[in-house]
Amino acid sequence: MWPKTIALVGNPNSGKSSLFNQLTGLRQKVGNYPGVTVDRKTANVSLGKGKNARLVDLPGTYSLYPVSEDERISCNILRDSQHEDYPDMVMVVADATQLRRSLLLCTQVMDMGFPCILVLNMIDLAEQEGIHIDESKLAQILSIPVVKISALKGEGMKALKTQMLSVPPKAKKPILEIPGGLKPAIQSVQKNLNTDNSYLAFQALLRPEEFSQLSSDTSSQLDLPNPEGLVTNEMLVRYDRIDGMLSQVLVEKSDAGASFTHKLDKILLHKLWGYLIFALLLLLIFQALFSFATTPMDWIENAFSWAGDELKSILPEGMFTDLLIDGVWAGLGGIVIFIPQIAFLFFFIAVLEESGYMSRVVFLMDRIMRPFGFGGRSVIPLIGGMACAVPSIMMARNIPNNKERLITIMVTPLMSCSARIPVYVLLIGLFISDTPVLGIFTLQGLTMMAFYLLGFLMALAMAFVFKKMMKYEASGSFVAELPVFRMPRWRNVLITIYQKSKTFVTEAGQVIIVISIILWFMSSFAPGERFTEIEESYAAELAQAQDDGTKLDIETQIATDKLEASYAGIVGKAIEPAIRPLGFDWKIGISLITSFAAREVFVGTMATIYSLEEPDAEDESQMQSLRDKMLNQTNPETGEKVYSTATALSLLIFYAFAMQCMSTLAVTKKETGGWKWTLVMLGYLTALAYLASLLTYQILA
Amino acid sequence: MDKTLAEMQTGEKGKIIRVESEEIQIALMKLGILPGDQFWISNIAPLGDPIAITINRTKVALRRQDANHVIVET
Repeated sequence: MWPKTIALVGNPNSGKSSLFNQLTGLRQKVGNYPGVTVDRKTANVSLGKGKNARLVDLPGTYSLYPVSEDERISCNILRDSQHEDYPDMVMVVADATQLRRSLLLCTQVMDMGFPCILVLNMIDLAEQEGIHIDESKLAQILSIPVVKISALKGEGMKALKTQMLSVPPKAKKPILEIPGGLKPAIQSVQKNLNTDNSYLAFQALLRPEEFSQLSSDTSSQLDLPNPEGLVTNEMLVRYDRIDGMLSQVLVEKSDAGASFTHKLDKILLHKLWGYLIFALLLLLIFQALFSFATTPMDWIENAFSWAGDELKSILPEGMFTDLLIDGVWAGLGGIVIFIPQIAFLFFFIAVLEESGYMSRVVFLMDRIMRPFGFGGRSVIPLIGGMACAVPSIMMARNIPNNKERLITIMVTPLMSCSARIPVYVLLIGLFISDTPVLGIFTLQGLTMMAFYLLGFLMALAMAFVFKKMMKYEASGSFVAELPVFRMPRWRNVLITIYQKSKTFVTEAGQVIIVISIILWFMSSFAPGERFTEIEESYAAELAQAQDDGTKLDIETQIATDKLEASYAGIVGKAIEPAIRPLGFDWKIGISLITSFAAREVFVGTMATIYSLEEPDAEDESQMQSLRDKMLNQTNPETGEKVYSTATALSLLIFYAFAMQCMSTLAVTKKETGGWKWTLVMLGYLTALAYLASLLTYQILA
Repeated sequence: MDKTLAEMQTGEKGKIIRVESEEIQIALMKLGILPGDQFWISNIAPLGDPIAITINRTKVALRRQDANHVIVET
C-alpha cells in the first residue's frame, strides 16, 4: 500500500522547506489556512511506478505542545483525523546536528500512531562537524526507517523516494508510558474523541483548550491540578530515553563546528558594529525599494500605457473599450507595478531568513522595540514602509506573534512612502521658500524631512495605542534559537519571490481591480447628458481653432469641465461642507476621492482641475506652473485666496496620515484575513488625518 | 556557587542546575536544553537584554527576566 497524504513535520530551520522544494519544485500550491496568516503548502508528487501522493509541508514546530500560531496549525492537523491535510504517513525532518531535540518531536509523532520515516537532513554539515550517526542502529531502536539526506545538495533523495513508495509499519510500543493514575481520565477522553490512541487523549487531558472537538462537559471534568508539570515530566521521560539511544548511535567530536558563527556573531551582535551593519543593511533595502525597483517599475508603467494606447486604437470607440482600457487594463497595470518592489523586498527577507541573520535582528532590536508592542522582526516592515507599504505589510507575515504582527501592519501605512513624495513636493513648494539653512540644507528639504519624522513618530505612538487597546504585554517569555549562519539556498529564495508575487497578484489583485473600476466610473461618467452638453458647448470653438496649441488648450478645458460634472465632481462638492473646516474646497475634495487609488494621483487630478497637462513630478517648471495656478485661486464668494499656508499645511498633514491607497487596503485584507482590521485601519487613519488637519487649519487660519 | 543565568557575564561558563518556571523549562526543553547541560554566555545585547548562550552546538537567546529563573552553577 502506498501513502496518499504525506506530511513533512520538523523543527524550524531543519531544512524542511528545502526538502519540500526539492521534492516538488514549482508544482506546489501555496494558500492560507482559514482565518490565520500561516502559509499552507501542498503539492501532488509522483512517487514513481504510477503512484501519486499529496505532500503537505506543515509549519515548523519544536514539539506537539504548541506555543506559536505556526505550531498550533501543525498540531491541529496531526490531532484531527477529519482534517483535509491529515496524513497517513509522516516524514519527520531532523537537523542532523540537532538530533537530540529532533527526536523529541519524532517520538511524539510516533506515539500519536503515525507511520513515520525519520529523515536526517544536513548530513553533510553534521559530518563536517565531526558528528557521526549510525542510522541503521537508530532505525532498529526506533523501529522506523531512517534516511540520511542533504536536501540542499540533493543527496540521498533516491533512497528517500524509495522509502516513500510504501507506508512503513507503525512502531509497536509507545515511547511514553502514560502514568497509571490517569488511566480512567484517559479512557473517558478517548471515548469522547473517538480514538484508540492514548497519547492523543493524554494531550487533550493536558491542553483541553486546544481541542475544539472535545465536548465542553468533558473538558470541565478534566481539571488537572498541574498540567504543565505533566508536560515537563513527559519531556524528561522522553529525553531520558533519547539520551539512552544517542549513547548507542551518536559519535561526536568536540564542539568546533559553530566557531564560524561565533566569530561572525562577535561582529554582528556587537554593541556598535552590530547596529552599524544592521543600519547599513536597512539602507541597502531602502535603496533597493526606493531606487533600484523604479527602473523595472517604469518599464511596466510604460509598457502598460503603450499597450493601452495601442489597444484603444484597434478597438472600436465606445464605453466598453473605455471600461476595458481605462478601468480594467489600468487597474491591472496598477497591480503589476508592485511586483518589482515585492520581489526586491522578499529577496532581502528570504536571504536574511535563510542565512540566519533575521534571528540576530530580533536579538538586537527586541529590547528597543518591546515598549511599543513591536517584535524584533517589525523593524524591516517599518523601514520598508518608507518606500512602499504594500510589500512591507506582506512581509509582516514573518512576525511570529499574532498581536505584534497586527500592530505592525496597522501602523506601517503611517511611514512616509514614496507615493507621498509628489504630493509633498507640490505642496511644500507652494508656501515654503528654498531659503538655505546651515549652508547645505534648504527650508523645503527640512520640511520634507520633518514630514518623514512625523510619520515615523505617529507610527510609534499609534503602535503604543494599539498595544494598550489589545491589552498586549510584550513582556511574556521569549526563548529563541539563533541558528548557525549558512549560505542562503538560492532555490528557496527564488521560489519565495515567485510565490509572494503570485499570491499578491491573484489575491490582492481582485480588490484593486474592483476599486479601480469604481474610481474610473466615477470620474468618467456624469448624470444625464452633461458630458455631451459640455462637448457641444466647445464644439464651435474647437472647430475654429487654428493651431494645435489652441486645440490642446480647449481640450484640457473640456477635461476640466467634465471632471467637475462627473460623479467624482459631484461627490467632491457634496463633501465640501465636511472638509471646509480643514481649509479644503470642492476641487481638493475631488482630488481626495480620485487619489484614493494612490496618493500620487492627487497631482494629476489637481492639474486636470486647473486645466493643465499632468506635470512630471521631477520637472520643476511644470510643477511650478501648477503651483502658480493654485496660488491664483480665489474663493468666488469671499474673494479670499483658496491656498493659504494654513490650507497647504493642513493638506500636507492630511496626506501624511490618511489611508489614501487602495493597494494597501487590498493587501491588508489579504494579510489580516478579512475586512475587520482593514476597516479599522481605514477608519482610524481617516479619523486621524481629519482631526490632525482640522487642528492644523483652525490654529493657523 | 549557585546563581541565576541573568547574573553572568559575557564569556562566563556554567551548568544549568534547575529552572524555576515551568513555562521557561518547557521552552528550553523544546530546544533540547535540560538541567545538567553546560553552556557559556556568548553575547549580551546592549541594555543587557536579551542574553545569548551557546549550548549543545546551538545558540539560544532569552530575555533577562526569563534568565532570572534559570539557576546555574559556575
